Amino acid sequence: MKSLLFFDRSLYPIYIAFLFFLLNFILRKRALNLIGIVFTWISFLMITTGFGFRWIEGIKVGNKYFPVTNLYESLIFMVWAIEAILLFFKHSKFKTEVVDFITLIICIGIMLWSSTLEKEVKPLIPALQSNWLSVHVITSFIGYAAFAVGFSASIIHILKVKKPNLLSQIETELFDTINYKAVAFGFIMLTLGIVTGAAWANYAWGSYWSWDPKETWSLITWLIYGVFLHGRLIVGWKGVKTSIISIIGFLATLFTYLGVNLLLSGLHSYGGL
Amino acid sequence: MKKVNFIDNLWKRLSSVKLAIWLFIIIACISMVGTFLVQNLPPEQYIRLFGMVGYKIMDFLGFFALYHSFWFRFLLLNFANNQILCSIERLPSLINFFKTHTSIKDPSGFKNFSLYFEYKTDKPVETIKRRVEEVLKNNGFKIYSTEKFFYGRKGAISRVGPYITHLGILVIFIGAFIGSLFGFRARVNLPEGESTNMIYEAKTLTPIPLGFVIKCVDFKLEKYPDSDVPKEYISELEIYEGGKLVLKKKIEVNHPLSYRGMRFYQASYGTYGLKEIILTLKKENRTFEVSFTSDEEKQVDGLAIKVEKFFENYINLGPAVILSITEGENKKLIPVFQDKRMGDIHKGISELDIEIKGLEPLYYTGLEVTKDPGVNIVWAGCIIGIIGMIIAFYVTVRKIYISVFEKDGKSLIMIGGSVLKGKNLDFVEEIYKQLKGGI
Repeated sequence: MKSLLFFDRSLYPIYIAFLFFLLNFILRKRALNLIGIVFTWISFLMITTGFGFRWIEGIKVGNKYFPVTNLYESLIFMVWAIEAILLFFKHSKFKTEVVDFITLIICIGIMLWSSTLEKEVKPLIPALQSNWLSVHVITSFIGYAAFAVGFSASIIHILKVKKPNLLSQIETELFDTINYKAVAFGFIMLTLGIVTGAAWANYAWGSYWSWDPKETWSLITWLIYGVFLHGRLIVGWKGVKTSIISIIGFLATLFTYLGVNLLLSGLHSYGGL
Repeated sequence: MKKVNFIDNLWKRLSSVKLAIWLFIIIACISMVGTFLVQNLPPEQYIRLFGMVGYKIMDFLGFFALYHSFWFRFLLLNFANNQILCSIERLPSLINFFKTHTSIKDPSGFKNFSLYFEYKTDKPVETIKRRVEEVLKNNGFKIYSTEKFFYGRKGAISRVGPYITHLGILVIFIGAFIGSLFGFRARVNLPEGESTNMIYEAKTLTPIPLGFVIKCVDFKLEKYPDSDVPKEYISELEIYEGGKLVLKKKIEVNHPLSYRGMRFYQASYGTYGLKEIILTLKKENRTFEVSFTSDEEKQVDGLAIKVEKFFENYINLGPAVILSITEGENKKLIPVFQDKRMGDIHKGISELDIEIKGLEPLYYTGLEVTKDPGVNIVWAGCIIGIIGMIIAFYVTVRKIYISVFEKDGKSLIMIGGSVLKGKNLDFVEEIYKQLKGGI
């Protein structure tokens, strides 16, 4: 399968990008950062191409929907989304130096884990044949990816507060801003993910909300980031406080995405997604 | 006097953001409990876990149907209430924002802005003023001019964003409430060829009259080629009103039928007998092919054959039938599997070589019927909420102040801009450049 060729090998440029970002963290050289960006782009484009092939391979076995229908595909898509958001920040005026290599550690972890999973393209069971599914998975995962970036910024933020001479050239405030931007964007995407999921549930089995563990955990995650946004925008919480909430939020995100399937049972049991 | 204080105090508490944050946390925690403690199990299982007394207490407190318990609903009600009160509490400051455009009285205050520019030119004041209005308008600013200076504002709608979002959430609550009052969820199993005008409430099994007749003409189970993975479950449904056919539709998973505010979903299926079975018998090098419809008996070369029983999945080895074969006085019961690999199983009982050539079970389709008059209100609420979020997060209020006056025979332009903390101020420089370029 051509898609696997691209997916598997996209790990190498991620490694390289990670190394250069790490070096940049220590040595603070513009060129290192640039090389990191280039390799992030390479792996991003490789995964994009992989998804193109994956879609075609799916069509060959009779699936017509965008291939985010099992755990393996969803994990790769998550890496793709995290890279997309990282690259967005890299090219924006918020110079996301430093947040980059922590974010890429998450990507590498996901890639390594995904390589142990069932990778075959399989025909879809009836419940998964829906356009709502693609939209639901895509929006949710872009949300998760944004939260991952917010999480990385929060970690660095707390480290920097604890050790002020670390990264003395960079303003602490920057990480707070990145955290907020990522969380605000992620919140909208998560909301869209929940709503499209509800629309799919309503269309597939006649109920938009049934307190299934996955639904409930997505609500819990939503509420935690709700605390973040109200705390920051209205009460005026900043810094370590919002960073901690962002970290808790990301842990809840991970539980929503993985913990629910591994530890609890419910409607989302198909395809390990 | 004291009483007023109490009400004031209560109002303050109920409308506070602090309460909102606590409600977020409490609702999240309780929801979490409900995902670990599996809900709505039969009582015996809970009794085994918690003992009789524990079960009684927890059941009384609604732990086994948490999300439908009175106090969880009370929390949700408070959540809605808090949103309304918070919005009311903040309304005056919002109105104030739209009414009083600026607190700045004099251009001398411009210098305190986070971004400030000055520029001198020989052009007459009037020309520059016209140019200022033009540039501000081109950049989408709404202009409020005072005698002393121009004040431009953009993105004021951003302040309304949170109100829109919270309105959306309230609309969702209203939709959900309407659904829980006037909606239902019911089931019915319909054998192929049969019809009904009655469905059964999913939990209580109370019959609900449909007011029309629904018929299952046919049910089909399609599989992917060379595989056991189901591709599609299809029910062909017909709806009759007063004996007349009014609607015909094939439904599949993800493709329900809507009629009179109700939706019919393909939820499950099952078999309840045989429609047709074709057997091939080999007897002394001669092959016979016999087809059976129901429990009829057929004569084949001196044998009386009858299908006694059909199993959709016999001892976990797939579809099978039990045949009774009578030869004179001698009657034997023989299991025959559809799976050819099981062809030898009856060799010990009979020397006949029997295979199932074709088999079509009688299916029933399991339909789920729902009615939810609130669902469209819920979707409307979702859309309103998301639009509100986008406005709140991505529209920024931008304020710009420009004053033009004569000083020492030249025109002096002063530009200052303000924006919420942490937001981008580049627009001030941009406007400054555009102004400079046009003068």
